[in-house]
Amino acid sequence: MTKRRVAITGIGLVTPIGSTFDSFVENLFTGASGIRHMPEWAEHVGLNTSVAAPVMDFDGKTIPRQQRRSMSRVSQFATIATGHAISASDLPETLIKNIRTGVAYGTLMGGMSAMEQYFKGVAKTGSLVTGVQSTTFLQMMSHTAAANIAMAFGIPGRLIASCVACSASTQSIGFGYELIRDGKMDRMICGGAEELHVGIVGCFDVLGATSRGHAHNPPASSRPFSKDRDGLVCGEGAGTLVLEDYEQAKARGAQIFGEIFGFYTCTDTGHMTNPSQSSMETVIRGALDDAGLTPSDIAYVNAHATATDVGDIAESNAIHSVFGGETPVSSFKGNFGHLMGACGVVEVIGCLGMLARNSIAPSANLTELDPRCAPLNYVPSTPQTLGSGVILKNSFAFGGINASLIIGRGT
Amino acid sequence: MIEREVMPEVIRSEVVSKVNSVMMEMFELPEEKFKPEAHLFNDLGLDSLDAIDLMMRFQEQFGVRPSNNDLTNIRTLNDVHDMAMGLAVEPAKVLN
Repeated sequence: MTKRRVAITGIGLVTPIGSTFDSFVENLFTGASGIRHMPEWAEHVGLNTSVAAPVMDFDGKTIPRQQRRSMSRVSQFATIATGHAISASDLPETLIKNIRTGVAYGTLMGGMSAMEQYFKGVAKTGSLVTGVQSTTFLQMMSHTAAANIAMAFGIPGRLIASCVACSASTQSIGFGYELIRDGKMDRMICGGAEELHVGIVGCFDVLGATSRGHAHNPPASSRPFSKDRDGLVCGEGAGTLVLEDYEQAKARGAQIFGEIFGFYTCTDTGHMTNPSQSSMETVIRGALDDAGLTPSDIAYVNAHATATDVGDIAESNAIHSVFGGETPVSSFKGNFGHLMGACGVVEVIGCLGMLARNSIAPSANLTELDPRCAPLNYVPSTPQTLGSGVILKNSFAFGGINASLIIGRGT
Repeated sequence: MIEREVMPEVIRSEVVSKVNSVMMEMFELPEEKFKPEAHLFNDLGLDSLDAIDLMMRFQEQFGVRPSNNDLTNIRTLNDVHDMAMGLAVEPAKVLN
């Protein structure tokens, strides 16, 4: 079977450090932080963390009411980001509403704020149904973001809702890439979204995974690979990529922001929350094989690196095992925390920004390397040249879900 | 259903005002669209999901859900007002 090339022709995002491609990339390179103190969480007794990366000044009311009524905040982010991506792609209406165009979009677990409203009604009335509205399920459901995108833009082809926590959007991009590469679809709208919710934060908090020591200086709180890191910072946002069959994209004169070269995903069955280095190596090598590349072809690794104790150590050692210590490695989570279901795609968009500048943005908050992390080229303070421009992007999720993408410049 | 003409006009006008206010807020519609003869689907742009949520709101307000018989005849805003009047066994409840 002939494998088709897959181009990235549209980018859209909503993030704590900018909701246009240009402002987002500029803020990455200047080291801007989207992490803030959350005094409103003080009422939640037992919660240890008090920092997060919310999207400020978001106005979901730009979405028409009859579309918005089935959207929790997560789907509103997804829809706005997708509108930007489709606009950037300049796809004509006839191709958007074409049966060969589909959606692959993930979230952590659906609309948490809608779930909160539902359970508040249960607590108030004792009834499991009083207060349920016609759109309650549509706002909560695990495929809410994907379905709302398809409905809002009239995209009729395949729909994949990859709800595998923090690997959701990386898997979505990978599945979209595979469908186009293998000729099943011609265009896929891919990505992921997340809404910040204290209930989810509490779930990570009780595991000891959240940052607890930087309430007075929130921008310093997320410290991937750093010796003094103390956990992840939860955030929210969305990112969308328009993927197209490369030849069709070229034929219609589309701007090509990048190309997907490879993808792999696998499951670490050792433990639900503690990742293993060997499984991380498996997914990285799988992506290289899929792309037909060797480790020396990779110019830069964008790590998942959430600033948790076990995750950073395992990932750094997996990267070292595959690439050695020369390949540049960094993480964006020092800038905007962990965007959960959106983290993979937003970080891919950051990588596309690096490709556009031919430069690697330095890692925020990496002041002193944890000696338990492998000796890698971490890009701690000043940008480095991107070289060949071929990038590996990792994502890892609870449940042992590993996903890696390889992207590069579209020629 | 209570006949409109037997209800004091002052109460009906207050019920109409409250119902319109609730619907404007629920469905984000401008006041000028709220003419008694306005068709819920054709003129106000509502659909079956909106109708369900409106009935849920009535249930919250009156403590009783409109019956299927009530819903069968609902076409216009005026029909909604009539239904609200009929449900308002204690009309003051709708004014809270």
